[in-house]
Amino acid sequence: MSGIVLGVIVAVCALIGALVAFDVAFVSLKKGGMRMEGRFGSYVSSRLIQINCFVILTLFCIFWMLPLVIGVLGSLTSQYSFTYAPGHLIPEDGFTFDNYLALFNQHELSGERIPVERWILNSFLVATVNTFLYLLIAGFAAYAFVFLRFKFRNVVFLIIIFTMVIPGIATMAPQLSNIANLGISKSLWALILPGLGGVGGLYLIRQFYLSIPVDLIESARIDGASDFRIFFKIVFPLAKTVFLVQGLFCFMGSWNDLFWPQIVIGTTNKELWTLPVGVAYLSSSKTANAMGLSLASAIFSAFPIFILYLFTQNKIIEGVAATGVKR
Amino acid sequence: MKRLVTVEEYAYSRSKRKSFLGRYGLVLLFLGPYLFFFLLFTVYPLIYGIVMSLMKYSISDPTQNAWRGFQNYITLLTNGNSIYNINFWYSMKNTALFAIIIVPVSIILPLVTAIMVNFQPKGYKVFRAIIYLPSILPVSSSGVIFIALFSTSFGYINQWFGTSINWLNSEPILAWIVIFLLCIWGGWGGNFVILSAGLKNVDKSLLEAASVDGCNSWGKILHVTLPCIKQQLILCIFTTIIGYFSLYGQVYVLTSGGPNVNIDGTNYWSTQTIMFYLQTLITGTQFDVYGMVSSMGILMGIFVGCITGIQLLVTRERKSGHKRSDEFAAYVKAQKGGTL
Repeated sequence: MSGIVLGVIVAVCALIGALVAFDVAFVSLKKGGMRMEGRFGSYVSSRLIQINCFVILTLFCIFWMLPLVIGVLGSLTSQYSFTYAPGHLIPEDGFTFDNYLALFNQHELSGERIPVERWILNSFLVATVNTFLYLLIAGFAAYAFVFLRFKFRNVVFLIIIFTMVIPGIATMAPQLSNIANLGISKSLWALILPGLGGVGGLYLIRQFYLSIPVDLIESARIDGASDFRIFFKIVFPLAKTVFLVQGLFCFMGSWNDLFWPQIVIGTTNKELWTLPVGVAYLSSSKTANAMGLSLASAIFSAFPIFILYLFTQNKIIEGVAATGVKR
Repeated sequence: MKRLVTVEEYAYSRSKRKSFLGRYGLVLLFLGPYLFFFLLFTVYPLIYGIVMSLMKYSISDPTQNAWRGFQNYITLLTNGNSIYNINFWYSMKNTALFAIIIVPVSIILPLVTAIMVNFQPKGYKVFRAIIYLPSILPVSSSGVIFIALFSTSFGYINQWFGTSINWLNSEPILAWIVIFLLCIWGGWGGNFVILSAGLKNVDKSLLEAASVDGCNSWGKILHVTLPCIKQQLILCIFTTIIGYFSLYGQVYVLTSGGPNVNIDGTNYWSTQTIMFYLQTLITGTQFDVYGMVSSMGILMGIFVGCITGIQLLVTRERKSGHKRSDEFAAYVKAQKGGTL
């Protein structure tokens, strides 16, 4: 197998060498054709830089996708191959969907069935309900902070923004105790509700509202529209992008979260786990006969996010970028 | 004695009452739900946490709760014999070291790719999407993939290179390397996207002016582009540090605390981070550690809060990019005013 690795390394080196040779030829040709002037750098055209960047980035992206590709191929590898002929990207006995089928038919050592389909359902419920409720609540609150006038408006907002400084780790234990006191620690509400007090999304939505001209709202008000009507007919359609971006953030954040579900639900209530917790549990044995299975569960839990990303990657990337530029 | 009320006064007070109800009722309707959850799940735990950190607090048996004053903090800060103190500072050291080591790597490498993508070669949007892709995967999934890569007997890396290194459970440094790689793989995208957004906003005329002055492309990057994206760089540095102070998922999935090492007769979980330590305390069998956990959380919160505070301070000053030019304009104005 190491022969193939060697071959790949040699091929990459050869490609980079060819690129360098091409650059040198390109530059010296240009140099020959043009008047000698200035330094070497002034002959490097932007076209040449683009070609170089293209080749390097292509290599880099192939390398970058490698773990994911290995994960997908590994999840299609049978347990037999993993045990007796490991290390092959393309297994000798061919690809199989057995791991995915076995995922839904797993049993504990005690004979108890592992409820994978409940985890999927829980993850979907938590992520969608959390996203929907947060957008509604934070959208309304941001509306109040931008378009309604009341005493201490800015002071209240500043206090809310200030709590962003406090990391979640500081309030973890009291939050748990709080959840227990509210009596929701043995239900999915424990995963949904705490996120609704989040500040980041409110801030993002408010920033977007600020770019909506106030005259528009004022004129609608003069025409006799109620504030709810203004919100649904004017503000919401205008701010659709930010709602989409924040919704994606919320959904991905709550789908991917491992820490909070793990400590709040605990190890005993497997029925209430979400997918990431289950994936971490399935992989915790780290033995060969469970490797294909845990890879299958990993790919399975990443799949919805991947599909979401496929269709909205522009919006997600622009949203992440906006958080860095506007601040 | 009856007080005389004029029609005007009456109308005024009525309208005021109505407007008060109308205005604040509406505000409450819009703001109320958010404020309710904010107070319940952000403000209340904070105050409750401060109170809890001064107590011996048990989640299962409230009769054990007792007031302790600053005893928890004193134990954590001074008592070197306490198991909590030892583990807290050990995991703190691990976390801080890791955060500091990973920062330069997770800024510079994404910056290089961001610069390359910013030249806009063919299909740069595809490159951008692929580079950001690992960042959206759940950490448990990417962790499992890395377990498959780095397992001892059947991991792909060991098989391909013909070695049999026990990456995850022999030497602490090896385990940290795998955690490091996973963090880089998953954390590359965020910094990359923020930095490339900054690069995109660099003024083209500045670059042209530089090349007219005889600056080569390397010089342009060094003297024009980098100063222009200073704000994004600072933001990335701080968010990376703060982010890795709550490092948890990678450690949990890959090593679960990792190889056990013995230093001076004490056993340590060598890849234990602060989040991981708190998680083991909370989900452990001891139910009366909540007060201690709270005080650890508060200490950690003060620490991270300070870093965030510094960040806000620094970025606020950088934010007004026209500071110097404004000063200059004011200076010129003053000069003119003086001469006139």
